[in-house]
Amino acid sequence: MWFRKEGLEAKRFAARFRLCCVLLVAGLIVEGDLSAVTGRGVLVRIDEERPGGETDFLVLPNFELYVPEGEQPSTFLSPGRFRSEWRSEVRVPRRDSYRFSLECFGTAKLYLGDKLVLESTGGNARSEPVELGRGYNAIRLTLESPAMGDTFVRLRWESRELVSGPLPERFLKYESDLPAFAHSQLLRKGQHLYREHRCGNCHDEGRPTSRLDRLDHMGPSFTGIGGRRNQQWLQDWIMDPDELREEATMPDVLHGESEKEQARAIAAWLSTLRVDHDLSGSYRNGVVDSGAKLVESLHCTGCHKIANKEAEGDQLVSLERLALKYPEGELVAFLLEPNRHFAGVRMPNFQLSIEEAEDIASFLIETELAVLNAPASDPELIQKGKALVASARCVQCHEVSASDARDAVVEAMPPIRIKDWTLGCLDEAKRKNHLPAYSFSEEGRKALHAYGKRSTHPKLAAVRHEYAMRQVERLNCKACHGQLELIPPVSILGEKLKPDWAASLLEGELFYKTRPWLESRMPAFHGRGARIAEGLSMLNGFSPRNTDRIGEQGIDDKKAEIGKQLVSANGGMACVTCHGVGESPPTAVFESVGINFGYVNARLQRDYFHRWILKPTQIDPETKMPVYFFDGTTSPLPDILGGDAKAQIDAMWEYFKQGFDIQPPQ
Amino acid sequence: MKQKDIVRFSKGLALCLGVGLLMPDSNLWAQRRGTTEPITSLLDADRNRELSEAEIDAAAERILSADENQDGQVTVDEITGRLEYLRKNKPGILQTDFPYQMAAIGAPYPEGNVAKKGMAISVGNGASVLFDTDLVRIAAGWTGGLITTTGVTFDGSHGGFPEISGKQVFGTPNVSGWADSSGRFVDDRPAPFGPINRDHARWDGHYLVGDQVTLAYTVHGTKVLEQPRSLVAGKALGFVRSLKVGPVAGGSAKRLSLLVADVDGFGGRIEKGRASLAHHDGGRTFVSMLKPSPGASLAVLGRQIVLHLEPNSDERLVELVIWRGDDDAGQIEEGFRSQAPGFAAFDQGGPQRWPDPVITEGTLEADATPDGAYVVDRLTPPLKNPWNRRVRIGGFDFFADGTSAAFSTWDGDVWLLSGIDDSLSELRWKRFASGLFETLGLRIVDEVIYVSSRVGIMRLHDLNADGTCDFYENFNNELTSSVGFHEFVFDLHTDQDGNFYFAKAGPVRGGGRGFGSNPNENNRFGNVSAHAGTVMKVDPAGKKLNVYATGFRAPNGIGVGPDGQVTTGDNEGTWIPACPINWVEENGFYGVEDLAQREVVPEFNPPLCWLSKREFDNSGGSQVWVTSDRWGPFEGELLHLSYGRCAMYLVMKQRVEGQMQGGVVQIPVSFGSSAMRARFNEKDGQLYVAGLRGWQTRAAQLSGFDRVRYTGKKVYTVRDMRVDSKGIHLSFSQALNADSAGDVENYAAEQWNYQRSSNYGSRDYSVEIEGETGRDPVDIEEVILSDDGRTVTLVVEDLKPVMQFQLDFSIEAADGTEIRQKTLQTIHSIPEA
Repeated sequence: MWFRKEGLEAKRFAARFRLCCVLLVAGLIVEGDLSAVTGRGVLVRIDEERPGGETDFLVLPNFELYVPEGEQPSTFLSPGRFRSEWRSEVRVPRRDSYRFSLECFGTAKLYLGDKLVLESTGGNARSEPVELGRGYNAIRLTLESPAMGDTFVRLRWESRELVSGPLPERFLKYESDLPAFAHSQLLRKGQHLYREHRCGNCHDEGRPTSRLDRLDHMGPSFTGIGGRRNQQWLQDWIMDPDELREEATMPDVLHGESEKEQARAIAAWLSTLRVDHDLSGSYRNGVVDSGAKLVESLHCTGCHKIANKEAEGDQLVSLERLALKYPEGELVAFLLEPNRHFAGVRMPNFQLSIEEAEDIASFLIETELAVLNAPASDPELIQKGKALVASARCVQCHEVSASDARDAVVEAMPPIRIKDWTLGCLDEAKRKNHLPAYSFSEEGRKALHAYGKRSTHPKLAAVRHEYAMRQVERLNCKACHGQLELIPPVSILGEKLKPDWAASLLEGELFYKTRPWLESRMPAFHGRGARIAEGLSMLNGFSPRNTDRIGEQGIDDKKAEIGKQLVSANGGMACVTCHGVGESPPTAVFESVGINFGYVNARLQRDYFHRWILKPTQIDPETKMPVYFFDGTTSPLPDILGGDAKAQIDAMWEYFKQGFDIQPPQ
Repeated sequence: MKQKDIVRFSKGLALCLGVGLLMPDSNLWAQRRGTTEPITSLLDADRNRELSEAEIDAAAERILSADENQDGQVTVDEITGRLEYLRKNKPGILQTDFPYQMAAIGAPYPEGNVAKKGMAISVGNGASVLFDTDLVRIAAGWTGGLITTTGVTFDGSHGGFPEISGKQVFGTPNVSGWADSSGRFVDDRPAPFGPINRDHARWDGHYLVGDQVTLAYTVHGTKVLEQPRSLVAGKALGFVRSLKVGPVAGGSAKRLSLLVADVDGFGGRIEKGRASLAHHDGGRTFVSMLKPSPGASLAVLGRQIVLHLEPNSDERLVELVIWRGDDDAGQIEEGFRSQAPGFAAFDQGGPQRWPDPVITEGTLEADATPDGAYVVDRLTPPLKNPWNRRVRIGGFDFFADGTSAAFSTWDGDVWLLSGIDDSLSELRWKRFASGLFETLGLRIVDEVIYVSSRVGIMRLHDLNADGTCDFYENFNNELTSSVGFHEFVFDLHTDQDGNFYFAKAGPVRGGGRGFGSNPNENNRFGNVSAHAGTVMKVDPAGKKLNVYATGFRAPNGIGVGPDGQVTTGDNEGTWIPACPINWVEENGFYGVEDLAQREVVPEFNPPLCWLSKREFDNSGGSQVWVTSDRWGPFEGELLHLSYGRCAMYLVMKQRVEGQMQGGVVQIPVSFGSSAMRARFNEKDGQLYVAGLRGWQTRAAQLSGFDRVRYTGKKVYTVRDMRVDSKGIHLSFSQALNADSAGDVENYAAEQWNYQRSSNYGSRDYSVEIEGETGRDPVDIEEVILSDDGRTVTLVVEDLKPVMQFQLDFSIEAADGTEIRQKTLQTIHSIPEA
């Protein structure tokens, strides 16, 4: 049941999970009183394969991972060979017989309870049938890196009901009371807080070097900010960011009696920073009803609290006071290109047309947006504000153009080494006026202390699979994926999509929509999309690079011709009824349009394609795609290729390799 | 025009030639029979196949050359028109060797002219007429092709219907072809669907001898036979209506009046008994009698030409000819008169049209149930045949000998099969009838074939016993039908008293949602008429049709039990949250509010059970009662077919407080195509299943016909399911192993609900958390095995009424045989134990 939330089960699970989190936190507060932690997925202990090597823990969605040679297996480990132990329990609805298979580079062993059932030292291995009892069954897997080369593992199971495929995350749970595991989770929390609040901008040695780095380091640019925001809003925000947004990462930098005057001065200077840009779009041109429909179909409520709309989660960004923030035209401009002035913004780019942006804006605003006021004109105040920006070190996180910066020292300062992680910004007891104030919780500070004790402070993007998991959380991907009909859960994306195609999709570089009939649309996450795509692929045990290009260049025309016949209505399975083939539209589609076959080769991983064709309902129970191959092996067309399901699906794959130039059957 | 465009147009033209559709103003039929016009000689290609690029290039080049086109027959306009035509037409879909096709068919003139149950008849010389069986009128006459191939059974399109193909010569409006008792040509039906009042005029059927169609109908009690034909005189082509009019019934003093043609013109006149009307755009329409007939006269009334027949006690022949020409018509009229055909013999049958059978060989034991109790023999349908007919079986029944059967196809053919025996080594398939309107049901009564179709029930007679149908009798055509592509008429059964039952789908819109066209859609999807979404009952004599139950969406298959119990399936969609098995009560309402067919939507009759599309059924087929005592332990039980899943289920029933409830378990056999129709063969006592592949089915073959044969081995299955306050009781066909059957670990259960709404189908919804999607796992607390070891009682935590309760178990029989099954049931109420 990949493609939807799990109803009662999900709720029960979520409740248990929350309870465990609370217990974990409580346990951390009262050290030495750790309770067992449970969660969905697999707990993996990873040890560096070297004398005195370190240990780290990961929670992965299932028994799959790919680590390229020379890369870190986890954030807190060094690159190089590793040993790992994976533990989880798999739930089955009743007693039945299953077979497991392993694909790996390295050495992998699979245990059910304490019994070794499968061992592989590279390549594929398949177990004898083993019985799983009703409820949860303990599974343990060990994986060691090979002497050289990449390391990966993919565990599959099959039964008389299931064609061979991954163990779904929702059937897996782990439990742990290991203090070392709790510590690794604490470290991660510290790392996330450190990076989320851009602590490194003042405290790390290095400045961002890559584009990806910049996403994490830099806040909104000051260039032109005076035109993009109302001056009063800027002042309010600077005064107290937490007041305007609960989860604000921007610290409170002004303290004391004069803070209001200081905020006014900074806002005054910022209001003078203006650049000309196109503001032809306005909410005034929009149609409210169309905007409402778009807000619905783009599922904006997955991330935003919108007036008169039911809130869906706990941590939603409110859109209730837009009129205070945006001058006329700027909301539309933001919707059109959210990352224009803030590369790291979480809001993705929905590639809206100007009309769509106007419609949405007209729906969202509750009171009229003000026309932009003239910039502040008091030279003294402006100069004061500029000086404050320099002294408060705003430019550690905000870019200021050279022309705006003239006459003031607004250059970034050299890093300040942290000697004691209980002092400075983290010293709750003694706040210092010249330091920014953060509203870290007790738990957050503990996490930062733990993180600070480490000698190195790795960047988020260093380990791609962890980066992907983190971004999935940060960007709230699960608000749509796995929740909404027809939008696949994140946990299968890496096994489904070829990483370079997924990268194009996430970066907003695809020139087509594969399912143009869907009202929802996949937004672009510029700058980080490619990294996420690579990480997702690794999380499903696949290389971060497209692998099936090798050996896939040629098309076996004979096979392709058979594939063409198989999808045709004449002697085939009539796939063309619902699927377009290149320029040829579906012939008789009814409530169930399928994706054009021209897209298949560019988009899908071969392994997934096989599993999908064999039994689509195993991947998406709600799909309207029929199951043609009974019991996963028997083709309804016994006269083609001896009725061999695998050979027939291979032939289709061969045919689909024609890609966008695919020739439709007669 | 640019050279490139010319080449492109010419390619289109050449393609037209290739498919036999371009004629200089018509002679399609002549061409079919080998007469070639100069331009057609450009290409000597099989007109039923598409041409290769090279062939088109070559033809285009020749057409463009001055020598070939010197008489300027091919204009750019014409090529453009033909290209447009080509886009709407595909080769090889229409028969070129059969003289008519029934369908909803439109004509350009008069505006809105459409025969919703029409019959396009080729009348020779490339000419055709359209007979409207509802309004008993000739709706149009034209030259060129027969009809366009737009339509679900033709080119597969969802939305739209065929139109006459070619140049229209005359037409009549959407009113009765014969005047009512007060002499008016009107449409006095309550709504413009279904036949006009039978006392006014009723279509009785048609005869076929060779290529000559003879229409039979009754006007105010007077029998009329009509042979449509054509004649050529000089440059003119005449449409001939040879009318044999019986003695006026009951010696009525009233005359009969026939509306012959409606003309967009003025200046009508009668000249030497010849009626004519001038068209606004030039030329005249002429109507003349080939021979004088006593009491028959032509008149011009406004813009219409009318034939009056004074009361007469004798049978008489009136031969009308209709043509378009210029003012000087006398010579042409003479030309026609010199060829007056008279009335051809029609009711003694004609030569065999399809003497040669297609012989196929069956496959024995192509599949079997895991216990080996049932095997499936495949009776290979004649998918490859010399006429390139698509054989998509939509109905079948057996003749009394049990070794032969008749089949109707979606494409409107009827086939006969003989050689149904143990070996299936020589299956002889012979064509019997053709040209019908989507025949998706067939029943044999007293060795006569009845088919259900979009026009109603037709009875097919072989007058000279040569194996070809000669008389297509209208048994009952009272059902209403609009032009919607989705107004399928499904299945045909009889009850113990000989009453017929069939179902009709609603005019679902393209893509599957909603019903009927929006006003701005040019009526592509039809309209909700009185019989949309109903099950209908017709008396044994075909006199009266009654609506039996309403509110169905697309019930592709019904069942009628030995005691007359009616059941249906349906297809998930608007108002149908999931496929149901309906236990149908007379006047019941089964869910689709748009098709309730009452002023106030009545209370909904819940089904016997719902079937989940994921595991059981996404599109239902027929039901069949096990009437055989040679088919294992199931005599008296009900079976349900899934067209979508190509599967067969045993239906387990329980009546609680007057409401049927229950569930299903699959009888796990595979079929050659879908599982849509089923009957027991009284001769061998075995079950036969037929199906076709349309859409929303996993069927891979276009059609299939299978025998599910009982081998006499032990059957291992759950065979009864009841629920009460103690739990769910499953009874098995064999004694069970106590350890295995009594172990709760071997059972899994889940439950969920649906939401019935105007949405297309429903997702699965939690029972426990309202509004949540998904299924709830159910805790089975205990399993109790009965003393006889055949029944297990599952004690379920908090058992309550639910739309779907699914059980999945893997247990052993007492002899160790594995029983691994899934049951799905609906619990409406839970009686006290």
